[in-house]
Amino acid sequence: MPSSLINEFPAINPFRHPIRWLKWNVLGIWPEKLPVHLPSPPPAQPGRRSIFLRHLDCGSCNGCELVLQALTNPIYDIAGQGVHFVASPAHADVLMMTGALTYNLQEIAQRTLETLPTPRVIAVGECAINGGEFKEAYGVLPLDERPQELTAALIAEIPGCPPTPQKIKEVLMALELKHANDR
Amino acid sequence: MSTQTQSVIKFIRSQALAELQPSESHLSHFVFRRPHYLQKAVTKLKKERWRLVMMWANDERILEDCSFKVYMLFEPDDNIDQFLLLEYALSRQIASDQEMELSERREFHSYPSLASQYPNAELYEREIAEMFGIFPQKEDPVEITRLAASANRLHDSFGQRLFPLRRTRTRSALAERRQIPPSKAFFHPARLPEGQHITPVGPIHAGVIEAGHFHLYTAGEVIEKATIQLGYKHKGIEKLFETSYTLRNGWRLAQRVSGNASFAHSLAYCRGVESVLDIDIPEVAQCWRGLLLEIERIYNHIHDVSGILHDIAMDIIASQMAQAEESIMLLNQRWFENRLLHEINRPGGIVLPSPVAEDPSAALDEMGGILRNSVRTFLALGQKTLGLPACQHRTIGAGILTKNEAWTYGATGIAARASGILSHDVRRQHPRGVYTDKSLHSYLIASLSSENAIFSLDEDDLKGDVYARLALRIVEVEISYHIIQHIVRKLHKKLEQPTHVGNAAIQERLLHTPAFETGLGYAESARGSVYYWIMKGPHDTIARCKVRGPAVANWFAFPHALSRKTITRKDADGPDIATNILADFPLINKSFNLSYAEHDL
Repeated sequence: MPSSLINEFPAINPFRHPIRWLKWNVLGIWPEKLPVHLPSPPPAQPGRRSIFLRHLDCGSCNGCELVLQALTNPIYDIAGQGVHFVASPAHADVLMMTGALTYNLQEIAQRTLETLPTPRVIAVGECAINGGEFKEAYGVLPLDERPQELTAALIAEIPGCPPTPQKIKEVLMALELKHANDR
Repeated sequence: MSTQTQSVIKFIRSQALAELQPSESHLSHFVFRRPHYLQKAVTKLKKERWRLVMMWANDERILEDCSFKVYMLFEPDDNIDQFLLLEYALSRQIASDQEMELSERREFHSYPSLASQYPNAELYEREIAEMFGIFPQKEDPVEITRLAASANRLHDSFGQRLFPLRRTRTRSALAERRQIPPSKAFFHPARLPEGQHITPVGPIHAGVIEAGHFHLYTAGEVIEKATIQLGYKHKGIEKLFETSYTLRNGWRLAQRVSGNASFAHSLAYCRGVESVLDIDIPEVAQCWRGLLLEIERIYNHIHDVSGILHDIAMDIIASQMAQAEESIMLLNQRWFENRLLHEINRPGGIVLPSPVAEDPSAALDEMGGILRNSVRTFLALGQKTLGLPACQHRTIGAGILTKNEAWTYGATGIAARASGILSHDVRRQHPRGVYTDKSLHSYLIASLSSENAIFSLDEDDLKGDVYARLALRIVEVEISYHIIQHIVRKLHKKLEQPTHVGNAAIQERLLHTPAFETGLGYAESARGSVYYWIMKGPHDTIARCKVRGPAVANWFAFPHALSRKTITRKDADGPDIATNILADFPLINKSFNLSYAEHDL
């Protein structure tokens, strides 16, 4: 991206910052650093490990996906805290499960879980926890028929329809994963 | 109504068996029983370029006709506020499911196929076959076998002949039938021409995306063809409306059909119920509905543009846009207590969450300020980005959906408008509620070339490629922002008025409306038009609720944007061949903003 483009952001209000506006837009004097106000990073936590997440859609309404996508934006910035979404379940520590488990996705969800080195699942949203509004639908597995491996691997539940990103971040930050090679 | 529209309706009236009293003034409802007359009517509509909006079936064996019905909804291609509903009663009176399964000859319980005139009818015919077990009459028996075998939403795990939307299939009956263990195979490679190979994608994608399975037929890098297998997220929402919800609380489910269009869905549902019960809602509720619908459109458009820019590796701009989007989401979270604007729409008006209800004027002021900042940042960023060669190289000429294809395959919303069908906008063609306001309507009419617009587009830019869809989103954000400003000015004068007609009024209408009354509800979501067709059952039950989200229509048109095609350019001498490579696929997919949940229901 050309540097001239960066310098013009953010568009500023001439009435609120008349001098800055005059400098930037009329005189063409650019500041060395842009006055970007981002939240200061929290203090480092020695000993906390990074977490690799994998999203698993089990038939959600795509509301929870929107929230998970929002986690990666500069406001929540989970990447800055060592939390990443990875492309393959084979690389992942935890599955973020969204949606009431549908019949059509049952086998696929099981296979994804088998691919994880250590099976761990976080249920994101009301549907993943108890089926939510869809629990009586014919295409959705009743709660007691969910695969044993999936329920056994559950390590946390994040309620809400959809849950707020703040809440998901809180849960992720408090998560302590025991790895197989930990002493 | 123009004279041409009148003449078309007059012709249909001459062919129809009967005309029914419509639920609203802009809808004409005709009944057909003979396939010959229906075909004549459809041929006439095709000749006059009316669009097939949707097609659905209903099990009305308990009603006086004792048969299945197939409904078809049409609308004119240009800006005429008119709907045409054709109802076809299947010829044989079939009392039981057993009788139906025993009768080998399908022609007794079939209806004329529309697919030869309207290719997008195939989509709905497949759906009807899957959900009801009624098949269209086609000349080619291979076609029917293919239709019977194709699994759109009910995959192998559901077993054969489930037909869940028949009224005889109760909840317990459905639960018994699906005990069949799921099969292992979901990848069926086909025989390919030399040099081609299939790139399978999904159903679990690498990223935070929903589940869907694609086969991209590629020769080297170039995508020749794409086939799509959806339905992984099929939950059975249409049946759930009938079994577990009433007219009064169905909005709870409607808002969860698709998360990113939840307000548009609940709005279309509520309008449907209001049309069934014949309720007029207060003007202030209309204003709030318009306001929230436009807010939803803005954050969706910002989200999509940010996603497209992320896909073409412009991550800094994408992040800044995501920041603008998040500030609107936080606004929703703070004032409406839900990021996706759930729990607001009700049949008969709206119920404001407590933070807004306590201090609406403060809420409006803060909303105005935050929206102004976000939209301005977004517009400035978007305008700059569109001019960058790096952006233009990736987006111009990628994923072209020509105007003809968009019309033929029934694309809707941004996908249709970016291909040049500008009238395809429910707010513009069928203005209801706050959109009937003349001065507000002018923003929509002037859409592309408004005088004091920050960003304007030429109609020649609308070539149906990714660039057109990207640029049109940016234009529409500005239009939505103007509309919001207009509505906020209007709202400030009426804040004290009640926003809901009251439960007593609804109760009274429920008592006086006869069972099996129908209504149509519609709204324009960020992705396109949402339609709900609702039939009231006895008391306050729902006898049938047909949901057609924009994704259903656009998924059908989407593969055509991927495939290789010949196009004519104005500046070039002869025809040109437009191709997409494998790396363009996520970009094109994102530019359509297709929802899997909305399709799979």
